[in-house]
Amino acid sequence: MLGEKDHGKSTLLGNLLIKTGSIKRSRINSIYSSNVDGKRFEPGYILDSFKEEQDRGMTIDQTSAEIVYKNKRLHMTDVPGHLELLKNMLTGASNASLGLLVVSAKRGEGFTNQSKRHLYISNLMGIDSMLVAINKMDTVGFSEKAFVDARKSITDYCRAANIKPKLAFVPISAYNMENVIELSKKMQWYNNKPLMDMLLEMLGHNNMLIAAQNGLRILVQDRIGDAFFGQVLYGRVKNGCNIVLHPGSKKMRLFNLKKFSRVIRSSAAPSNIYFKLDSDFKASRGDILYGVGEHPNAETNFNAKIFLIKNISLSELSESKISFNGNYINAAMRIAGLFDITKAVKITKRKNTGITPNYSIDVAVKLAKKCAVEHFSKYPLLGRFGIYSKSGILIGIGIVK
Amino acid sequence: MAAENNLKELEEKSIFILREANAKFKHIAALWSMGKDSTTMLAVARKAFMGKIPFPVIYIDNGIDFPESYEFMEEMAKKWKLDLIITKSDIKSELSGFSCCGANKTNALKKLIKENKFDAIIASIRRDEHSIRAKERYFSPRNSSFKWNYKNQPAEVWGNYASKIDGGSHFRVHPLLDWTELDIWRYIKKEGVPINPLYLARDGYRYRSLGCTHCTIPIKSNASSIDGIIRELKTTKTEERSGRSQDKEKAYIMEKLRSLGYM
Ligand SMILES: Nc1nc2c(ncn2[C@@H]2O[C@H](COP(=O)(O)OP(=O)(O)OP(=O)(O)O)[C@@H](O)[C@H]2O)c(=O)[nH]1
Repeated sequence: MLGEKDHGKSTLLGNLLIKTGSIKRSRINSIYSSNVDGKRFEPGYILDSFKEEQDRGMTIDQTSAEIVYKNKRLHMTDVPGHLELLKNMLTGASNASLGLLVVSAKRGEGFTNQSKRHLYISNLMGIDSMLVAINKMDTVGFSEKAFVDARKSITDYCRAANIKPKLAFVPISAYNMENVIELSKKMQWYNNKPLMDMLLEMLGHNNMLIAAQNGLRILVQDRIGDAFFGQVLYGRVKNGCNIVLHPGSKKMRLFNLKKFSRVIRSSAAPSNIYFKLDSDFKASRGDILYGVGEHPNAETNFNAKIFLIKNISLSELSESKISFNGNYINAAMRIAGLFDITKAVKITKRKNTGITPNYSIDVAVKLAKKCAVEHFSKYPLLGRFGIYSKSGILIGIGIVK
Repeated sequence: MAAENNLKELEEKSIFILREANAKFKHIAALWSMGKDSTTMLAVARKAFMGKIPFPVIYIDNGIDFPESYEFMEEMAKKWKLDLIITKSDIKSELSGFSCCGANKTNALKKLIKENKFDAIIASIRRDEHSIRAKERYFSPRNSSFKWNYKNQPAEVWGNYASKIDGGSHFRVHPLLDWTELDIWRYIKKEGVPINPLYLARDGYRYRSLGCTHCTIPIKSNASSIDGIIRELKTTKTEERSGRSQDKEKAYIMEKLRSLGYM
């Protein structure tokens, strides 16, 4: 669940938990009783459970909750809308297979810079379907024009920014649950499904990260004596098969394939396995096992698109590390192009001061150590990375172009 | 609902996290309360590590646990060949929720972590237990005074979990974060995980969540089998921890307990 602060994400998720019966009565009652001082009842308090979050009326950290709707278990994550809390937004968004963007139609709110950032970054991260809830329709008299205008501002933006998420729009009032579970009587002009049904429909079509690939890719996670723990990321591994270890391109045989304590004949992604390798050439954590005849797309030099979550000086960026699947590698990044996300324009002249969270940046990366790297569009699990400061704090993310 | 499939997915994720923690930390240990969650975690860990859990398992004994729990502990430690560390927490005069399973256990754990130089502690918390826990990370740092700084948690993006932090004392590792109470019972049923008998109803009462004899009250229930519990949970209107007197206090007490390192 993405969007600008105060546009109603927590309200929507809180009300969904209540109305779908996904939360126990006793917890709802405790929220009712904590709402005092003549303030109106805030369903968002179910998620913003820290006293400070409630007092300040904002989500500080992402919150996950499970909604059971039409017998489907939906794991929904509410992320903070504030600019300074982008790292928590990335944490929440990095596990998602579908985006739900909440944009308020209320006067003075609308499709803001932060909404643009959330939309653009989530698209960069591989969330290619976005359900857009145009919220607070009650404040604009449930007007069709307000909905159409909001929708247009978003489709116009996508065109200008050259991103092509699959989009669907539903006018709602999260506070009053209009058009969320049931169609609203107050918006007769809207003749599509309510939000939750639209969401189920879109989920069924979204498969970016599990895109069927023919290749075999196994991440080496740990070495245990003369054996290994690994995760099959793509394809199916067979006990006794030949594989190629990258980086290094060493051919070897994989044997004694086990799952739990049993020897098995084969195992398909996603799966955590145990195995041995018949080679003197040592595999280590972060290496990738490939099928025979397959190669990584790159090992040290590649192009990427990155996004930084705060203002970073160029010298800070030069000292950063990047991490693929938990393996940190020193990397040099040369900036090849900048794009202003909020204005949807390329930056041609740049002051040499630093980089802000308004930019998406094309970079040429040079790793200090070899690593098997793939195009994000082909093998996303091997083509995406975190960017970390010298002290190990996440400062950005990137995908391999 | 494809419950079976979902259990497989949850198990794979938990195994990945357990192996990741074991690879990244030098001195790791798991907390075991003899309750359903931490026993399930040990069952998953046995599968992750080919039948033998490679790290010590800590039980903090406040001396006032149920006799059934002590028996269960001895039986399981033998059966699963656990490297068990039992440490005593002393009960202070006031036996409210805070001191029996909260601060007192925390002090004992603090000492143990220091003595053994543990850099990671596996805890079997779940997001659905409380909305505050819903904000937890899989790898969650505790600072030198044992506090959880929920306002400034490290990002967890794409399988990159933080495992070092300046000025920190240790990490909490949460392999069961995505599981629900119902998932736990379904898994126990599917895998035949042994459970503490206190969970099963006797004479119309059972324990739904286990603290010690001082802070846990049984709930009215006729669920005398695991199937019975699963059926009961599908229709219940109350929360899991409502059988714990310390939970009657407001939500921010929980926050306080957590920030103190209470798990
Ligand atoms: N009139 C009206 N108000 C709404 C609606 N939905 C949410 N609000 C109000 O908008 C305010 C902000 O809503 P939240 O749900 O806290 O916003 P959020 O997007 O979660 O904000 P952050 O947590 O800071 O990111 C609250 O006071 C809500 O009651 C709606 O449909 N109509």
